[in-house]
This record gives sequence, structure tokens and C-alpha cells, in this order.
Amino acid sequence: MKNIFGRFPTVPVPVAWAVAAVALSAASALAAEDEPKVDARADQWLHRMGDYLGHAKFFSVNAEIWQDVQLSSGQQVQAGRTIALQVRRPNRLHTEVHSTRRNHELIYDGDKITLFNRAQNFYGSVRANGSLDEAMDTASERFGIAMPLEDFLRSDPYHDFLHNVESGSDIGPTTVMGKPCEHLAFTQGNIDWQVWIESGARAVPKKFVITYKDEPGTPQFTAIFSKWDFTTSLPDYVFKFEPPPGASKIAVKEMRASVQPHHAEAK
Amino acid sequence: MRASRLIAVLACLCAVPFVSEAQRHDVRGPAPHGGYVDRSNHGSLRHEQTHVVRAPEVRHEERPNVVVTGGPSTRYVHHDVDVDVHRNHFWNDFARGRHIGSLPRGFLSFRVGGLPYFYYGGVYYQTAPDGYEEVFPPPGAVLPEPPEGAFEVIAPDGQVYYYAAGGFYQHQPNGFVLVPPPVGVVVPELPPGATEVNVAGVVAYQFNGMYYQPVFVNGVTQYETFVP
Repeated sequence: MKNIFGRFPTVPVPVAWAVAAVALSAASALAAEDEPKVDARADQWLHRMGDYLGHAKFFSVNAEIWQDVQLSSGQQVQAGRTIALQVRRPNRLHTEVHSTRRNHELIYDGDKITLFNRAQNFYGSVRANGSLDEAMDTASERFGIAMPLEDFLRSDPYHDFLHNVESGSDIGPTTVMGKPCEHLAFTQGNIDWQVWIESGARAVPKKFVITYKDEPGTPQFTAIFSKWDFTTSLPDYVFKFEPPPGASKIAVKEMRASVQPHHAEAK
Repeated sequence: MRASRLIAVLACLCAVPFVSEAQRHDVRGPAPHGGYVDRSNHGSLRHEQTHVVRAPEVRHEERPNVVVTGGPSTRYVHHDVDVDVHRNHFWNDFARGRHIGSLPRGFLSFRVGGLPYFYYGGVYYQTAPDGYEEVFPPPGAVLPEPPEGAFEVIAPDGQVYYYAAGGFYQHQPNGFVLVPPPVGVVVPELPPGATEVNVAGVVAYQFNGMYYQPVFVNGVTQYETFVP
């Protein structure tokens, strides 16, 4: 039989063991560098919330959004709006975003995503199918649409929340809108983010903040959640869009090839 | 000696998966899908990595005669179109035919096509019997800088325009030249005073000879220029 080891140099056994140990420890160290440094309690709380939301077959929630916006003068102001979300897994979503001058809806009925600008009575639809996760991917990749607060709507929020996290910690117990919560803080890339999770039987988020560290003035996005409802059923008609009288159907622009991600910075 | 070779080979084979996994910088499974959305508009962590920036608006105070531009890999999305903040630029109040007794302080004056025009803050004026009146932007006007708050928009052919109050400006060696409205450009808001029209049964808006049809871009309503 041919000696397959004949091509390798001969070294003493102790040296071989040393080489093996160094190789393995170096490889493990490299891998560990990419592991997020999330303390156990923060991980545990995030897991609880992710499981609670991911396993819910349906739910409704409202959120008040406050977003820092820099005016052309350089002055920073806050813009506010409210969002009403209705989710029925695996493939139904109804969102309504409302502010003083604007009122937008986004509906996914399992076959198409419909956008409705109620203030101006415009609507448009695009084909989409599959799970809510798949619809979100279609919406963002083909049409540049981010669904409101979509991180909380994913089928496995825990996995997605932690995906790019570099570090995370449990700041401790606090109160949001009179409810006892656990305050978690994370860092990742260009942002810091925080979430306040209700510490009762329902591990739902009460508050969520993203800080954009790479933008002038480090603006923040703040969502304050209310009216979590996991009991009121959501029948089909909730996710069915009927154009109101006089509504105009308009095009939904697909992202142009010329503005697709640069190769070096593609995800 | 054969045993030592075997140990060394096995060690390397064991290490390879760790190394390759680490080198991929992705030890936590497949990335959530991204897409180039406005990452901050709906508070999304999934799109944290996207290089989306708000549509550059011209800021005179900070960078006189300099227009904010992005790098080649930057995708512009009109960040502010879905944020309910009223931006009170001077040109937002344009009303064609409005009469005023005197021009705002700091106005410019020049001739376009042999006719005298006056300009201030994105609004053009011509003389009228009782003073001045606001008129449509005259193609051919040259400004030292685009109007305050003008939006940078990119045409399908890659041409860059600065848009304010129905006027489209291009950066040329002699300044920012007001050009005829290009077709197929998406702008974040209608010109002030655009009138609603019906074109072949479809709602549209008309301003100074150009038509604007509403379209959803990045999930919000914007307007694309067209000619029926």
C-alpha cells in the first residue's frame, strides 16, 4: 500500500502535538473574535422576547415613533408618528402609519404587498408571496421598502437581533410607561440600540431606541409600544385591501440596477 | 514518526473549518436580508449596514457654493419624505402671479433671453405695473448656488440635478444653470402650486409645462416627471 504520509516532513511526536495545539487555539481565537460579547442576562432577556414574539401566531400592537430629523439649517428636531401593526403568521401583515399630514398603510395578504397613501388616496401593489420574512425580503430588496418595526415581526427575532451585535449588556430594571421593564443595550457597527422588555409574564418590548452614530448629531429613532394584544383574533378581512372610492392606482417603482449596492459593500 | 505526521495532518484538518468560518466573519448563520432601504425611516436593525443617506439638501450656511454629494457607492433615498416635518424654505411659498411691492433684501438680478429677472431664495420675479410678480423659473438662469433646501436628484441617465420649486439646476462651470425639466426624474415633492390634471384617466400634476405622476418609491409617494 502506498504511504500517504510520505510527502510530509518527519517531526518528533511532541512537536506535532505542539503544532496541533497552536493551530487549534489560533483558529478558536479567530472564531471567538466574531462572537458577540453579550452578557448572559441580556442574552436571556432577548431570547425570552424573541421567543414570545416569534411563537405568537397573531398579535396587534401600537407604537409611537419619535425620530430626530436635522433641518437644512442644521437644527435638530423630532418628528412624530404612530404605527398600528397587525400580524398573523405566517403570512399576513397590516400596518398603518399616521402623522399630522400623512397616513400610509402597508398590507401583505400572502399574495401581494399593497401600499396605500390614504391622505392622497393613492395605492399600488406588487406581487409577493411566502412567509412574512420572505415578503420583507422582497419588499426591501426589490422595492426599497422597510416594513415598520420589522425586526419585531420576524419569525426568529432573537436570531436576527443578535446577528450583527458586537456587544450587549443588561443595564438593569426600570419602568416604562408605568410598567416594570428590563433595560438592555447593544452595540453593532454604526449604531447603538436599546430595548426595554416588560418583566412580567409577557416578554414584550415597551421601548426601542436606535442611535445612528455615523450621522451628524447622532440622531435617534425611538419607538414606544402600547396595547400589545395576543388574544383578539385577526380574520382575513383585516388583511384585505379594497380601494376606497376615487382612489388612484399608481406604480410602485422597482429599484433600478444603477442604484443597486456597490459590490464591495453588498451585504 | 508516522504517528507524528498523522497528528499534524489531523490537527490541520480540524483547524480548517474554524479558520474558514472565522474568516467569513459570519459565525452566526446567514445574514438577514438587507436591501437598500432607508434604514432609519422605520427604525430597522436589519438595514443598519445599508449605505443609505438622506437626500442631500443644499445648505448655504455650512458650505457656501459647495453642494453636498455622495460617493460612488452611496444610494440616495429621500429620507425626509416620510417624516412629518414641514420644511419652510422660502420657495415653498411660491405662487405664480403673486404681486409684491418690493423685492426681498439680497435679491439677484440678471437677464435671461434678453429679459430682466430678479431672484431670491428659489423664486423668480419680473417687473409688474405695481411692483413685481412671481414667475415660473426661466430656463437659462445661472445662479452662484442652488436654492437653499434644494434636493439632489439623479436622472435615469445618471445626470445630477438640484431641484427646488419646479426648477431643475445643473452644476456647470459658470454656476448652477436652470435647465428645462428633465423627463423621468423622480422628485420628493411637487412644485408649489402644481395643478392636478387627469391624463388618460390617471391622476397627474402639471407645473410650467411639465407633468408629474405620483409613484411609490421606497414605499412612499414621490413624483416622476413625464410628458403625455
